[in-house]
Amino acid sequence: MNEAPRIVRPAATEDLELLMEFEWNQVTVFARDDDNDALNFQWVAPLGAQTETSDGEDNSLQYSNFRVRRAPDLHGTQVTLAVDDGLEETFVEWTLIIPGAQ
Amino acid sequence: MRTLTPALVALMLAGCSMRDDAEDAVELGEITPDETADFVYEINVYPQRDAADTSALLPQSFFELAGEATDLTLTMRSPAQLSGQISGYLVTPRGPTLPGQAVDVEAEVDLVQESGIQSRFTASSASGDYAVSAVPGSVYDLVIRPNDASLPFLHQQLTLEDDVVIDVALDEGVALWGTIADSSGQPIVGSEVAAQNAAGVRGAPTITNESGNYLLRVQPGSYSLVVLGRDTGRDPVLVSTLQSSGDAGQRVDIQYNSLSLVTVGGRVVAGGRALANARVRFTSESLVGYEGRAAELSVDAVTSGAGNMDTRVIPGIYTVEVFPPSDTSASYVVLESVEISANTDLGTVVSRPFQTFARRVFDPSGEPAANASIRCTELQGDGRSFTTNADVEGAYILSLPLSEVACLITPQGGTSRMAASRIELDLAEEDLPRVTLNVGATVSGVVDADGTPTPFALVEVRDSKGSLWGTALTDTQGQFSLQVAWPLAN
Repeated sequence: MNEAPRIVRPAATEDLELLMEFEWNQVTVFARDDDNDALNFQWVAPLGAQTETSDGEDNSLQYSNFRVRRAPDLHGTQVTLAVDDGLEETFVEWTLIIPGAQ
Repeated sequence: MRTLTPALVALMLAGCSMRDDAEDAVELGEITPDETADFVYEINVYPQRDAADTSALLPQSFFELAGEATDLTLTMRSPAQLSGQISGYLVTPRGPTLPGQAVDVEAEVDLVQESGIQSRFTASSASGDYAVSAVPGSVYDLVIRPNDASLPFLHQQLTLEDDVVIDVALDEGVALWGTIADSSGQPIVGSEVAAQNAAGVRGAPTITNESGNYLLRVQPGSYSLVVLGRDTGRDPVLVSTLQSSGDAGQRVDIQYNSLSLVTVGGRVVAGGRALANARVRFTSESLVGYEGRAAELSVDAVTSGAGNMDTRVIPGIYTVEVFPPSDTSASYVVLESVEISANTDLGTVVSRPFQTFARRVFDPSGEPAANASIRCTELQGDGRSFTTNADVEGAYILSLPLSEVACLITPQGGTSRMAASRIELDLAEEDLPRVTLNVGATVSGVVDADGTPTPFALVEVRDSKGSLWGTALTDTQGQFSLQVAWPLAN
């Protein structure tokens, strides 16, 4: 029986905020698959956002780094990550926050 | 505590020294600089951090790496905090404030560096209090941009070394004012106008009143007036030549040429079917009547369910781009130098469907590179990314748009002496080649702060164009190791 991938970091996967306090704002997500399946990290960003992703692994942890360029119209929009092992998916979602934006 | 006025900033900064690279708290291990290399790498470190913890380490850029380097020590510097209060003087207040009243200022507060990852952005509170932390030992552009355009913005260089409290008195500045009118001299109501200094830093915009008049306040200096137009989104953005405000302010009137519009439409298809919900962007290359002026217009339209779109633009020469919806397998399209001089039907614009490529990845010895990861990103359009992993035979299948893409092919983690390969090509013109991974050069060392290892920090290596060549995580001892392609190793 297949085990779904587990998000190790961030600890919570709901109500997350990504504060856009840098030119490039990044999050790194760590995941583990108890079946040792290769994980696929699929990021979905707002239309028009400048983004970049890179994946890697470190011992039994697989990770994906996502970075998004600060832009005023991104305030309040969502970024979603789907982590799948080919059979099952786990999701994490962030709300992008621009400091000082209304 | 110090109170910072624009004049005082200039005095302070006159005595500041620019950053000397030798001051960077980075010790080099074995490194072989190559003076002839035509590109160098930069190392960025992103520590794991809690944004609510103001003392937490911040992302930090390090030196330009010019050769294989092992035993690097990347020392993260504890953030230094710049804080204080921002006040201004409203000469022409709106709302309940009395004329000529000192006010607390809500503003965007930025510490900016042109390159690297250390720039910071925050905002002051309603009471004008601000606090921003940044990596010390660096020169930043400090930009304080009040939300109210009747207060002048501040732009100065600042060397941040330690925690410092600086109260900023923006004062009242000097006025830039004038009228925005159409080609017949009639005032244009509701046009946004902003001041932009020679470095391109722009203040908050104001809006022309019922007489087409605007009023901005700036620090004495030279500025361009940027006329952003009405919220119809169909007025060109005009940028005036630099104007000196003098010490008493300056009147700058700006007149549009023709604002008459023509209709342009067309139909977008992909794979022989109508492409719905595609954004079609018209970006001016030149505008009729605006020759010799800095004038730009960008208008978006969205295709209907039948793939049709139309919009209205000022006559001119345009670049037309089609951005397919992210959930379709349709390619970005660009049509350059499209003349739209009268009502124009573009006809049918064809977005080519993705093409599926079955290819293999090999290691430098010609053997299949098992489990390599392939990530291709559009260099045009919305920058969509497409990823897959090769199998044990190095084989992979990937569907890609037929447009310009950059592909990073990364060896399986833990594979020694192999580094990512990067290719850029236009799939509308070229075939996706088979890829051989690069011979790797080791970049390794430790990330620490105050002598304490920094675990789980992301270390990335980029070239001078900002393209990513490799990443690694530090372990619990703060150690990292990655392989990057090195020009001399190829």
